[in-house]
Amino acid sequence: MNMILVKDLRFFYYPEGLILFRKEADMARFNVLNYVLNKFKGEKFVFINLFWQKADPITVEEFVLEHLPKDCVVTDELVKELHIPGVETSFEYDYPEFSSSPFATECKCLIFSNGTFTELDLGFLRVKFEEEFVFGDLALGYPSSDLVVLKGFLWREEYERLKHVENAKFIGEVLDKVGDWTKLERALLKEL
Amino acid sequence: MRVEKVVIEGFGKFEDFTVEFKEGINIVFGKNSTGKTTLANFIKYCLTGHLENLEDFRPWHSRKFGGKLTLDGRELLFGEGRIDPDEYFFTSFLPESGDPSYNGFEKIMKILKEHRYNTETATFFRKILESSFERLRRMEREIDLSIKELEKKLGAWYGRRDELKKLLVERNRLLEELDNKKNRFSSEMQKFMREKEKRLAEIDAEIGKLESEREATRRELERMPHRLISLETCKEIEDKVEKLAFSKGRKEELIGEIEVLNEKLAETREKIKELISQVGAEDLEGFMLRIENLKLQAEVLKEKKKHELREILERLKKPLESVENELNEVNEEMVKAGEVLAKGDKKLSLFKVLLLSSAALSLVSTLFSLFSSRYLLILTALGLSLTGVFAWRYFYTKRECAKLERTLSELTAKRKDLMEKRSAMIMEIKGTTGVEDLNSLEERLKRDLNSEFLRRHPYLSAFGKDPESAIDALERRLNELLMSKETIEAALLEKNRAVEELESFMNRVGKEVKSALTEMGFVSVEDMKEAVEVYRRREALEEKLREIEKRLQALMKEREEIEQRVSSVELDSLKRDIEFLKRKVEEMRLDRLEEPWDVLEELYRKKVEYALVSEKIGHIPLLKDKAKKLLEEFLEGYTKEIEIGLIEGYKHFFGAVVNFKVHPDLKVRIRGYEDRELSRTMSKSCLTLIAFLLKKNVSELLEVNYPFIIDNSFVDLDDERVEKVWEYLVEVARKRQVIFFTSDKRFLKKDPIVVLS
Repeated sequence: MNMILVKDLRFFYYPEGLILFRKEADMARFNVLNYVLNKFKGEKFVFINLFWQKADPITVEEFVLEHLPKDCVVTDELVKELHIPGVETSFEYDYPEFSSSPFATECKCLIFSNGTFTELDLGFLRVKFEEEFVFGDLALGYPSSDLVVLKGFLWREEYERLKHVENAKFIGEVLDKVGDWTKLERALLKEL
Repeated sequence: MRVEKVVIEGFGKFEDFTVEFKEGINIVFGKNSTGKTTLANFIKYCLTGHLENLEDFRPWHSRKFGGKLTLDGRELLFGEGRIDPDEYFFTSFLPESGDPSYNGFEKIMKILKEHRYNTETATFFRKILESSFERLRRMEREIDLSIKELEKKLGAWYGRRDELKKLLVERNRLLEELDNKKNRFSSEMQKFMREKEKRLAEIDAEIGKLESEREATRRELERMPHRLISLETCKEIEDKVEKLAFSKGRKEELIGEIEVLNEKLAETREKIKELISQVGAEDLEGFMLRIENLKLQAEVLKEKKKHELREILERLKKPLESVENELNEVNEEMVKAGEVLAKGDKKLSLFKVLLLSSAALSLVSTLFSLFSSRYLLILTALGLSLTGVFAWRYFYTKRECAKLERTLSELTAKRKDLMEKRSAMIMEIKGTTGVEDLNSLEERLKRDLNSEFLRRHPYLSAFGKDPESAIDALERRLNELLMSKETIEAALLEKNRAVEELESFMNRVGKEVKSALTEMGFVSVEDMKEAVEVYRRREALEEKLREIEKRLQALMKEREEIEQRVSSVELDSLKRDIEFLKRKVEEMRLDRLEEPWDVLEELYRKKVEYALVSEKIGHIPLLKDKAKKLLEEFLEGYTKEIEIGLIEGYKHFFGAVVNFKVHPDLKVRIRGYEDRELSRTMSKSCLTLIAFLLKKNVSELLEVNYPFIIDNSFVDLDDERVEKVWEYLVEVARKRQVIFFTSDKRFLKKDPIVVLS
């Protein structure tokens, strides 16, 4: 039987601006998980860093019982501690560095067969997430990524252009353009 | 501001003169020297309190000098002055004699700057410069506090999550333990049921067996005869019969022992007899005499041999001992001489070294003394003396050693002689006695004596190797046999007495048994035994029956108990454990944690907010720099506005564009000709118009509303320009009062207020 290694999905982990795209992040991770589970039905799965290390243990337990196949391996420390029945927690082999996170630069999983590892590219499931400070004028073609968090200042017309774009979130101040003042200057002048 | 009325009591040519003014353009018409300039200067003096050539305006006829002016309903006394004279002159007074305003005025520049400094725009820039943006800093602190609060909240969530994790781990452990216990309970229960069934089957089997046994016992009891007997009496009879049987047996044993003892006694007697006859005696006394005789013979033989030995020793031993003593002495002397010679050799070596050293010292010091100081001669003498002493000691020791060597040679020769003598003597002893040394000689003699004695009395050989021990052994043997004989005889006596006692006991008890049997109606002991046996058998069967009943009852009870039993101690314990674990698991509160995402999102937003506020705060110095620059530009921005006013005004009057440059101090130049004064490049009428435009623009910038007094200017303008000036005056009069003194009828566009004559 082959072993399928899936690493760094880190469910329930929303670092920095990803917290604003929880649904999208969950969906991206589930897409990777479901694709791998369907593609390698009947094989043994090894999950490394499947969860956020600070995740709610009850949710983790339910997730394991609900979404993972029987007799899979989950090496997360949290799962080890929980002693969830029917879940193995140790995987003794050394494997090459890789990541199955949809947010990683290269998204792939490993197939372990007869002592050798083969990579499977999952790049088509990648989700490009970006967050950026905006202190100057916003480029017209924006946003180019799948998920974008813009932080800073927007002129009202820029904000109007962005506010209906679902994959973009904005945190900051919306300013009215007056005179030759820059965004930061305008933001400061509002304080007077 | 409007001059409403002018009352002159005495000023120049005016005495008790009153004139009233209205809003808009007020034309005061008069030909030359009718007092236009005097009236204009009176108003100027009243408004500013300053007039350079005041004394020139003293009344010509009247003694009263002065008057008053009503300004905006308020009386202003002569020379009281409410307006800065320089500002008034620069903005609101156009004299007849020409105006040099276009040459600039620093004070007005300051006033202008000050005025602009207080304008809304400048105030805005100043506000930027003066603002500490405290709200932003406060906001930054507040956000920081909020972040800390949120982090604390998150920390508390992490804490709750860790607690929950511990609980969950504990619950899973308990569930695992519960599963184990349940499995164990199930297997224990199966085991328990198997054992119960097995035991019930065993009990049933045993009950069946006991019931059939009970039936058989009952049947046997029914078959048995029932006869009442006294078991105690029967027991006494049985005991007595047993005693009789035992006594009989004992008697037979004793008779057997007596026979054996009699045989042993006869045997011992035979051995004593044989021993006595061996030594050639007839009875015990003869034996004792014979033994004494043998002891005497052995003593005599011993003495004889001792005598022989003494003789041999006296003849051979003493000379040998003398030679050996002498040999020992020689050996000792040789050892001593050897030691002295070894010491002498050592001394000889030492003196040889000393002699050579001192000789070398003498030789070297002698050689050096030939070339050096006389002190070395002393050293030479000392060396020679030492050489002499050591040479004497060396040769003396050498001679002593030679003497010792000679002595040692002599001792060696003597030792050799003694050794040879000793060997000869030993050879002689061997030849005479047949032994190697004298010690062996005694042994040899002893052996010879013993063999000779035993040859004379061969029967003693069986008792020992030497005569004395053989005689002692023989005597001991006889004593032993005698003692044995006495012991056997005593035992025989004892045993015969015991046989007699046993016989009398048996007779007495036999009679008692017989009478008791008769009394109980038994024919014989066997009859009684049989009856007792039957009685006991019956009793045993009855007892067995009782036992069976008892056992049956116990088994039935046990069966009932086992049937009723549904659990064991182990099962109960497991059940309790399971219940306990279930209760414990149920009691565990495993509430799902509220999701931390809102807090995390809020924290993220706050962090971004903090970063933005920090960015803003970081940008404050840049904003202030920009505001400072803009303020400076704005404060000097009046030059541009005046330039525009001049360019437009000039174009309005002359139809041409002249690119004026106004300096901050209001000095007006033409661009490209900044080094030239305006008066050098323009005509008088042109200069008057520039001055008028400059005053108009500066007034507008300063927003002054003082009455604009024009003293007979524009007289040399052509009609077209007079019209244009009038248009300007109308425009100015919309904002402020204009008092236009003129002698030019072309400006009588409306009725004059007053016509001076």
